[in-house]
Amino acid sequence: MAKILVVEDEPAIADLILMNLKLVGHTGFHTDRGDKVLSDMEIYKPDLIILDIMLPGKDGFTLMKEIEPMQIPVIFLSARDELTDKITGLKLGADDYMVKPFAAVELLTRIETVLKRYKIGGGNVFAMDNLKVDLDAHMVLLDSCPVELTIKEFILLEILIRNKNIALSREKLLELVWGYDYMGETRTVDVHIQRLRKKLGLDDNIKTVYKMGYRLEVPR
Amino acid sequence: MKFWQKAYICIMLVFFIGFDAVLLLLVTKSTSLSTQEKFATAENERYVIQKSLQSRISGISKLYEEMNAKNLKMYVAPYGDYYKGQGIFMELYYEGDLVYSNFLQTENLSQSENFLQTEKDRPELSIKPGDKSTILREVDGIHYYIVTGFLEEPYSNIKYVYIKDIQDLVDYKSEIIRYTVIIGIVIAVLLSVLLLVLLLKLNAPIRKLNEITKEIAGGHYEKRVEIKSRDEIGELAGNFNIMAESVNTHIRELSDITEERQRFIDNLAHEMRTPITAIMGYGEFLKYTNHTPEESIKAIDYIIRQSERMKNMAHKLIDLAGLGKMEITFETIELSEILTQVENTLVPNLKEKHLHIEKELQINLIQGDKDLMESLILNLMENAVRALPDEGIIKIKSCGAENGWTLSIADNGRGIEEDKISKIYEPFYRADKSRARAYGGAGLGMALCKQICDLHHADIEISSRLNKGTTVTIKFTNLPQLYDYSEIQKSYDIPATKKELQNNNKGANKR
Repeated sequence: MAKILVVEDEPAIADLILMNLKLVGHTGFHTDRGDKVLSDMEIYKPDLIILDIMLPGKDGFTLMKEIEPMQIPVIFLSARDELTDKITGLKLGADDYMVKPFAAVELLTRIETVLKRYKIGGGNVFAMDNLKVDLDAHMVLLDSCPVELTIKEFILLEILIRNKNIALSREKLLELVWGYDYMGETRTVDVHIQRLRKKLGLDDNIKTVYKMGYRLEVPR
Repeated sequence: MKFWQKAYICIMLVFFIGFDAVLLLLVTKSTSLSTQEKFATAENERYVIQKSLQSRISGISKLYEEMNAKNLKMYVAPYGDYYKGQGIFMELYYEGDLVYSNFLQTENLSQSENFLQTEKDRPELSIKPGDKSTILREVDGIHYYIVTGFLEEPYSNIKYVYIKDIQDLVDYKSEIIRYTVIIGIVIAVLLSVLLLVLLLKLNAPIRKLNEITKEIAGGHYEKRVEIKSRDEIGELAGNFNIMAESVNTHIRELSDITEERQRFIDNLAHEMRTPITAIMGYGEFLKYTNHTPEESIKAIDYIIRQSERMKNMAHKLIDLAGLGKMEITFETIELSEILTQVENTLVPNLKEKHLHIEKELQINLIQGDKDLMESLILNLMENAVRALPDEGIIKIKSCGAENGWTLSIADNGRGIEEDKISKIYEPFYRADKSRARAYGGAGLGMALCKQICDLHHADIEISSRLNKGTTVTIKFTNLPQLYDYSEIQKSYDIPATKKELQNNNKGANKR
């Protein structure tokens, strides 16, 4: 997965992001001052930067101007929710802009999207035990033998992989796989999960989390 | 209708009535004078002519035995011709018949015949012997002054008619009237223009005032009237400016307050966001992920710490909000007691950093609100603790001062940059952002201190040098009412109070 530099002066928030990054397999580094970012970039060589705006030492917008020529993707994560700030951030070349408070799942999804766009991380092949999933080629190999999955099953699997170790509610999965306007029942999710477990032998790994939903658990 | 238009119409009305009346009187008097004069001259003339006619005719009676119309005419004719040259005509009637006339003989014969023949058209001719009639008559557009009378005895059967052309008099009159009317009109026009200009000029300050009033009403509160005159309008403008200034001041104050409030709310929203983000984020983390025990402890720790931070903030906000409306009760309190309590609260922090406190209390009994004083000192001490390195020293000193006393709390810690000192009382302002947050500070401590000092009518001052330390000095002023209770008692108006009581009783009875 990717190396991500978190620039955030609030330790509580920085740790929260780092813990979530670790969960899905990214490697996170932390910088708490704006004026330390460039030197830390030299050390860590990150694939992506999550950047706060109000920082001691040097603010995020100034930093963005300096990072922009290096072609490293940046996602702003700030408490500033003014439209002008968002526009300034995006115009300076940031790939995304998120406002605090944020949901971890959303941040991870946006990171995924940006990485995909930059074709970074090589995380598009997921391997666990005897299972190998090539997310780009839409190919699933169990014990080196291809497994046939329907489109919906594959999307569901992909979402579980991308949010591994995080529980996703049935409603959330329904929305992500079938779309907002799908009128079906959450029962549909259960059926598809059952099929995935059966086809891929993931009975132990795709956990039903009581009252919450499903979670793909991967050894860490 | 506008004021200047009203004034214009009124003045013009008064002027025209007055001016025209004067003109009318003048013209009347002038014409009547000249008429009288003319008539008097004519009368004299007539008298002379009649007299000479009389003597002439008496001459005839000597020449001729019998007087008849023929010789009378012949005799009178040269006379008539002579006077005709001077614009004086005459007619002579003998025994009621016309004997001689040189009046309108050539021109317009028909008219003159008419004029001569029809006696009923000329009632003045039918007069009784010895009488005399004077009339004015217009013939063919020319005015004549006609006097009819009889000669004296013995020729009383001869009627003499004196006719004088007075057209010049009539012309003079009409000329005068025409001239007066022209003068009247010209003067009226000139005057009305002049009046208009004057009124507009006099009216200008009022219009200016009016315009400025509209502009001010439109939101340009900084506009002022510039009128230098010393009349009532100048005075009004001066007072108007004073009014506008006070309105402007109030509005500025209000907008300052609104701005400050908005900034406060913005800051508050921003400050709340971090702990909320953290609490929500760690909550979700715990709920949805398969985390390790270490991770869960970390997350729970953060949740507790951030909740505490929010609790702190909420408490201080409540304190701040409450202080705004609070009426404090001054009581006598012991400074040393408060300090002991504050130290007890801070024991863990003091021990952790091995800090020393040096106290020098020259004044111990003070006047103030106990809880607030404790809060004030606690906040200042907390700040000092945060600023200090290990083994640092906090010096607390109280001493008397002119008309009050001072309390100073000094540390030898990091100090504050000079440009930050002025902002320090602003809610949510932090001189050192990262450190203050790490300690869970809400950024409200100094704002609270300021409020408490204001309530105690005390001045708070901060002097600081980077890496040398910070000293906070608070100057408390003795309030007169704290010591002069007797004065206050005396100032109560007891009779008035009695009266009020009586009134109240009356009211109560009625009910």
